[in-house]
Amino acid sequence: MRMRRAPAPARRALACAQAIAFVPMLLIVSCGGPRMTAPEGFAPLEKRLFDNRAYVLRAMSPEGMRFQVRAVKNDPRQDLGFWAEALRAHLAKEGYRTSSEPQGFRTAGPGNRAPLEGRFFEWTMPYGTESWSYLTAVLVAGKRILVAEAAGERAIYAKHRAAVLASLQSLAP
Amino acid sequence: MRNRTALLAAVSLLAALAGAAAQESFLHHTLTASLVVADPEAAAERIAAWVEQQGGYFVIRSDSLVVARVPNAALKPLRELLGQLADRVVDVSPGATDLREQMLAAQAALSSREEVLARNLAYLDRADVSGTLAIEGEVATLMKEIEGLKGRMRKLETDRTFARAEIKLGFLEQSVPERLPSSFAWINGVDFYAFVKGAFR
Repeated sequence: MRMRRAPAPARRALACAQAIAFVPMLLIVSCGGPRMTAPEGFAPLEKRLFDNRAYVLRAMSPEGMRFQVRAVKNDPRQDLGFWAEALRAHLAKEGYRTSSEPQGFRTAGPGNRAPLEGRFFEWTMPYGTESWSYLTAVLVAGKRILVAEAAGERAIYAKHRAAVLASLQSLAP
Repeated sequence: MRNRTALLAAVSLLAALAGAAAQESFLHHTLTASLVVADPEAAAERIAAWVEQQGGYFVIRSDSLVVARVPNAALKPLRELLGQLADRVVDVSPGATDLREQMLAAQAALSSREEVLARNLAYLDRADVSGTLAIEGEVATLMKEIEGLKGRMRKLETDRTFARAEIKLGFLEQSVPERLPSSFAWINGVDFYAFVKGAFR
């Protein structure tokens, strides 16, 4: 008699649980953190687990343009519309100026994961004597909010913009 | 019935005259605008691209100034575009100059020089060597003046067709955004300056 295999999420959870029993800290990062493909042309940097238990994924372009995604707790639990507006309103109140209309994006939904909706904002920021572009993106995945940031001098940002947006679409909570 | 036909004919004639007057406009339109924008470079790029789409061209394009020639019909849409691009429209000054006087003066000067040139050329057959040299000198001067006047006429014709727009682009006051606390903890962690200056390994 053949045993029916457990569904994929259950198998993954089991694998994580077994691994956690041996090397807890290491696997909290690899099993529990968000995943993404670094933007093309960027060097992926290490995942880090900070004291506040926020997961951070980072990548950097050869020119030093930064890209970062972190996962934070969806608390109070709200949807994408709420958090995107909360972020936009807060930055606008601080004096940030948008350089384009807010835009939505959808993750590719790797494996059997359903695609998720996200929203990003692009801001023009003064930095020294230069004009920089700053991207902030929000994606809500159940108990987590994924917050992405990317920043670079205007021309450098324009060069890597498509790669950054493609990377956002590869995000998985 | 005859009265009605006559009335319709009169109305058509008036409309035709009005249309002809509109086509025969001798006005040179200008627009001077001063805008405050978040990103002058992007705004200048967008204005220049829009102007080319409308069949115009730009004369000067920098981060702080765009001087463009646009068809007269595109002047109103250009003002609408500027309104959309600007965070604040500091000043918009439309203007118009009637070119008729300048065109008539240039045309009259051109005609008189062409007449003198024709007369000088007629004298050339009957002149002796020294007279021929003097006439040739005069002809050269006249030709130069005629070319200059023809150029001026062409410039005035262009001014009739294309308005001149001078758009000054000022940078938004580049004050660093003020840090304000959010009630949502994670939003306090989204900060451009912290992001670009912080350690990143």
